[in-house]
Amino acid sequence: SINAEYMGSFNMSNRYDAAVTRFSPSGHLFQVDYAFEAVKKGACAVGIKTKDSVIIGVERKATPKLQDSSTIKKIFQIDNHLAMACAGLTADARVLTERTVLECQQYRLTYDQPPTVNYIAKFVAKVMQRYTQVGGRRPFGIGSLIVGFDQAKEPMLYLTEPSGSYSLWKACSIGHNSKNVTELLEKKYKDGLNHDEGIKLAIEGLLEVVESGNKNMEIAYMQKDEKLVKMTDEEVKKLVEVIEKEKQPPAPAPGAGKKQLHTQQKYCLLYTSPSPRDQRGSRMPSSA
Amino acid sequence: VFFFNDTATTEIYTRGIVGSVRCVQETGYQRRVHGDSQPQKDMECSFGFRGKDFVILGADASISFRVFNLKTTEDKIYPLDNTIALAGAGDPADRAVFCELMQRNIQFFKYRDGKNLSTHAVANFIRTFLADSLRERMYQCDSLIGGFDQGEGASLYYLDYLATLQKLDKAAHGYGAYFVLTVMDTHWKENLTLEEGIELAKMCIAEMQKRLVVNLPNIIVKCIDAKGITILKLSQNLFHIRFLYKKKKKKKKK
Repeated sequence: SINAEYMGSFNMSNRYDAAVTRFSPSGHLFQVDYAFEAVKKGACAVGIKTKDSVIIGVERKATPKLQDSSTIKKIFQIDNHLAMACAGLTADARVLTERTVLECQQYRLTYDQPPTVNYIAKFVAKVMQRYTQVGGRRPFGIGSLIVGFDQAKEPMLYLTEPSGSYSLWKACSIGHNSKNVTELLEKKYKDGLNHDEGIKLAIEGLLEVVESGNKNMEIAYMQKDEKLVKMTDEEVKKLVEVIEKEKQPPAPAPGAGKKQLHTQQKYCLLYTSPSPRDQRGSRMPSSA
Repeated sequence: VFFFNDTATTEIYTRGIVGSVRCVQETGYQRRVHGDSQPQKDMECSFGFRGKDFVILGADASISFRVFNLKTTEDKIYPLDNTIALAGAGDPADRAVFCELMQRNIQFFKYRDGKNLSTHAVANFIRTFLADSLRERMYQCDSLIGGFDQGEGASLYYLDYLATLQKLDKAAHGYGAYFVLTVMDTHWKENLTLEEGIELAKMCIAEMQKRLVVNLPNIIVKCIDAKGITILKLSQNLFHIRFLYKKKKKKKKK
């Protein structure tokens, strides 16, 4: 089938997207922009900084029946006191987290003290930026949330992007449908949230993206003792039930026919067809 | 400041990756090539033995240089993981560099692979590292690796500075080994309880301090078992290991 987008797009931007090392006349690095698109296809990740803890929630995409889902890690423990969640290409995430783990230990060897969150975020950003400037290599197709506590025992949440920029956030989300989650966070986030409120907010955010159910999300948090704690499925389930009860209006349940439509609509939202540009050439590598 | 004219030349050279395994590398200032120096390592003593479900490692706490006793409160037993420790004995710089490097590498593997290595794996990794680096340089550090695994139980590995690895019940390094090994040969038995182990450790220390010409005022002894690594208090007078319990002073608010 003839794709209108492909046939009609004879604009200048196409000529400059082949190599990372070429700017377009409008000042874009198209490969980096496309890397951002790869991040938008990945599983959603939410990070929330509360008064005394830091929370990461990750969407667990539906795995095939025969696959053992316990082997798929989304929240990585980088060091004793640091954790990282990535959205985008799984393989890139694995490579980058391994490199970050090595850097943590190298830092400890050199300075005989644990690395700060800021240092690690800057390091991850530095690695990612290198691949946007060197020829022959593509940028990392991941965005990552790096969490931990700094020396003053304040919780920190950093976001790094494929362009190699890093920034400090109070609450953040990356990955697919992250716009909805970010809108929710902007509405509901307050300074001085406590730990339990923070977890509820993270779950609420993920429920925007995920089909309801505890099996589809993974929540982990770090409190002042700087130990990463992964919440069990039962704990998450309880909180999901509490949140869904609060959401439900007191009106009577809708009829059977209407229910079917509702799930169909959701299906359409979650599984977007690949864009025509992606269909030509080789297939995109699998996303997280 | 002491100038080393006859021992080390401080040439910094690029170090290739050991085998094909990427691991934590030494930092620039730690790389050092030994000339044709005699091993100055024997003055430092360490010993260890295996009990029923624990390993006891002991190491002297002195750093000496030629005729000077520089420090008597040095902790030479490095925890590699929750239940694995490495007692290093040898040239002070090599020992510090080598043991710290091993600490960082074992921790790196733990975070990279998401699970802890067994004592056997750790001991063999360290041996391989030593053996590979022998081609370029020598780490003059004899080690004793003691660890506790859930299935295996307690295990003690003797590792030479030339990368000789053996799993043993009782072992010792340095000049003190001449005395300590005889004591252990006489009194060690299978399935020692912790109390018996402590008694044996006390006997070893007494023999070393009595017969060795070098004065070893303090010896740090640690016990590794399922709970982790604990420092044993072997005598009433704990002055020599007080530094290990030093609490950080709280900053007074102005």
